[in-house]
Amino acid sequence: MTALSLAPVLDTTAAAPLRQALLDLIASGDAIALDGGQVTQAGQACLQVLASAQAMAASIRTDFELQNPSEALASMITLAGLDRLVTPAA
Amino acid sequence: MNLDEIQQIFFQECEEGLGALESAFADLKRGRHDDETINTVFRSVHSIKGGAGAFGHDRLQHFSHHYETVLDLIRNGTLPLSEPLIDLIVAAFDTLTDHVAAARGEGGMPADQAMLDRLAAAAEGKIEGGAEAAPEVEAVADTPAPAPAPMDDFDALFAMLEEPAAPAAETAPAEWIVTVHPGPRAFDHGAEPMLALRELSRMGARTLSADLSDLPLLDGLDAERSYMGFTLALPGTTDEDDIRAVFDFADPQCRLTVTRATEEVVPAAPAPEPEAVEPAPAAPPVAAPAPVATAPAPLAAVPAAPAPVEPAAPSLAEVANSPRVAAAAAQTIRVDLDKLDRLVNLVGELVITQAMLAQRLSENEMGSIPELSDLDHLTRELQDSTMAIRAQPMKTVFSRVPRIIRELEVETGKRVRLEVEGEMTEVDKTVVERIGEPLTHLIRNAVDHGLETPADRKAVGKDGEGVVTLSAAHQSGRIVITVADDGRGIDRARVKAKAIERGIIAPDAQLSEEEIDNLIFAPGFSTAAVVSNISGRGVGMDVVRKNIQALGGRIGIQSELGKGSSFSLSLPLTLAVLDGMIVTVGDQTFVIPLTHIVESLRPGIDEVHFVGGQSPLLDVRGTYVPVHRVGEQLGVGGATRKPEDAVLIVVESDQGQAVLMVDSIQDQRQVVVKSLEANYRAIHGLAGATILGDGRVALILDVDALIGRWRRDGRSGGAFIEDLAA
Repeated sequence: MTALSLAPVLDTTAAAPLRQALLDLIASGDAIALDGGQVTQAGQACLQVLASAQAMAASIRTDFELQNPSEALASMITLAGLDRLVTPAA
Repeated sequence: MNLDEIQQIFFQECEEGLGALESAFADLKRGRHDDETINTVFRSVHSIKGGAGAFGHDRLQHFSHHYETVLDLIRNGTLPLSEPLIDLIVAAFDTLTDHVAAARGEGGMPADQAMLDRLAAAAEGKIEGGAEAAPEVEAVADTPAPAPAPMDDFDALFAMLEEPAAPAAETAPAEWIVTVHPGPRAFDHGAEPMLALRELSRMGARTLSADLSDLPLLDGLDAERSYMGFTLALPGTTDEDDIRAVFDFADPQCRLTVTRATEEVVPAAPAPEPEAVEPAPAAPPVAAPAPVATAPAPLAAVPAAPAPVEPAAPSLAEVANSPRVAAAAAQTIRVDLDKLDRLVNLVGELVITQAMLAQRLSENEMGSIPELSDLDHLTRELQDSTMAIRAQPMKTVFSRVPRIIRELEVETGKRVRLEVEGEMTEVDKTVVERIGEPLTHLIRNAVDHGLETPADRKAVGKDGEGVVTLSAAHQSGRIVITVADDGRGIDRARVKAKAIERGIIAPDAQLSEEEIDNLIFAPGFSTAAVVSNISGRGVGMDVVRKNIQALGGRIGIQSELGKGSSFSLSLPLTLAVLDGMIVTVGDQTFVIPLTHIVESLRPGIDEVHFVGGQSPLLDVRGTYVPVHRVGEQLGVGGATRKPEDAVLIVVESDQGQAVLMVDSIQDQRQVVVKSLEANYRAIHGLAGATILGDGRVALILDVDALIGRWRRDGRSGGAFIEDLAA
């Protein structure tokens, strides 16, 4: 499974394209696998897109994985209280 | 309060914010900075951005948004603070200042694209003039990071978690539980609610949970609408106002609650079952069973901290109206300046009435009753307190100087270190408002004329970086502002030669060092070989002196060739009262400001000399000083004509010493200055008027203007009377 690499800047303007990319991924029937290693900025708009995608994946019984979050992304996830977004490393 | 008034407050706050930034940059440049310094910068820019969005200043908001992004990356440690980066954020600050000025309508919109490009590049770790500070992403990518590593933001949090909770719980107040729902339009105008959370985390907050109950599934989600809410815990010692202040510029629909957790739940020990309280947003509908491997303690504490969520969280506007917030805000209030001026005026009237009462009582032999001295004491205290309300720190003016210096460094290629002392010295608002321009001239003069180029400095054994010192201090009831440089000093031989060449002085004139120094204030005088944008047009220093004189001040110069110069501005603390000598001339009473008076005397016959048909001259310890008969020259009838029958008052003016001849001295006291411009019209030679204890009006002499005029064209009383009659 190839992980979709998240854009470095996940600000409000990046939220709509991210939502669309995730919808496309879900529509393709593939599991959602994301790599957060390149992210340098993350805002609430993108975080809630990710949380919503995770919920949607659960509702259709598709796997959702966010791996390898950068320090910037990980800190914002913790700050937003969304630690469950991140898949623990094996 | 209407929108315009609120906007004015915003601009005042911008001004204060920009002032705070200048101080922070001074620390950064000197390497004396810590996390709080960059936080201060961030907060100021964040507030400006918030206000700009609220008032529709889109360009200002756009710029500050990008500026803030870089600052945020610095403070979260992504961008290491290097010298080129400091230079960039200082340069960006200048553009921000221009944007604020443009928003106020005080200048054109600055061209900011180049700066925005530099900020955008910096945000990606590409900083001009420095090694690329690659965001530490690669390192993270190489090493899988299952859990967020401790970073600056969370140091306080981790430190707090490691501390044994029990002892703290015995003494510390209960934690704050803060719930935030940013409001659906929270992302409008580039706003980012997470920044507020980050600010809270810096204050020691930890996020307990996210409220995702309103979050739709992805297909029904509007990417530009905020759906989330957050619950955080902050140390109980945090000031509630500080917590609320983080949301000052939040979207009006933002819902915020700040409540104390119950005492029992502070330690993470057995928690009571939360009854009838919603179990907070600990169980959002998002089905994501993945266990949270890190930080179990705070999460475990969530249900234990039942956050007494209020049934309906009040909006920010409601919160602002709550009595507790109002009480805290009452510590400082903003007052319309007109109201303050009216108060100052009324106190002035009270002082005058008190003087009248004192005179009337003394006429009836009741001048020594204790109530009168009590009233005198109270009136004076009231006057001092009122004046203190108008007092502002010189910092407001001084904070603009670093930018001027930066621009001058670029224009002249010189290197300048600015040292500031006494910036908290307070002075009347009017003085603060009007001192800016002359001070700017002096700073420009110090850098352009005073300091040498780095090469020249090194050639004479000085440090390549010149020092300009700006200081303010109270001295004998006045404020003295000094602009000093360690440059080349005044070349008096050159100044004198130039003055002779310009026809300002006669070739054979014998001048003291002080008189030569004062030549630089002569209109049209400039020794600059090349006319530059900065100086050299000879229209600077004479304007400086005029402006200072208009404020009732004077300029002194001290200079040593090769070592530097120092210009001292001595100004009254307030323009509303002055110490004056009350004198009689014929049937009139005048006030001579005490700052001009050197001495007063009754001359012996042999001390006054008549040379030809000119004015008499007084022999003041070997120096002959011209005597001006005030009565004659102001056209006042009945004044004494013979110097030996009169009182001679030696005064210092910007034209040198002179003697004013009056009939007698009545008193010396503080008088309330009434503006002639405001009540009648400006009259050359008069600084204003005052009302005496007997109710009569006395005119206050503008000594510099009168003596200058008498010396220049020998105009007599007729011309003065024409002025009055015109």
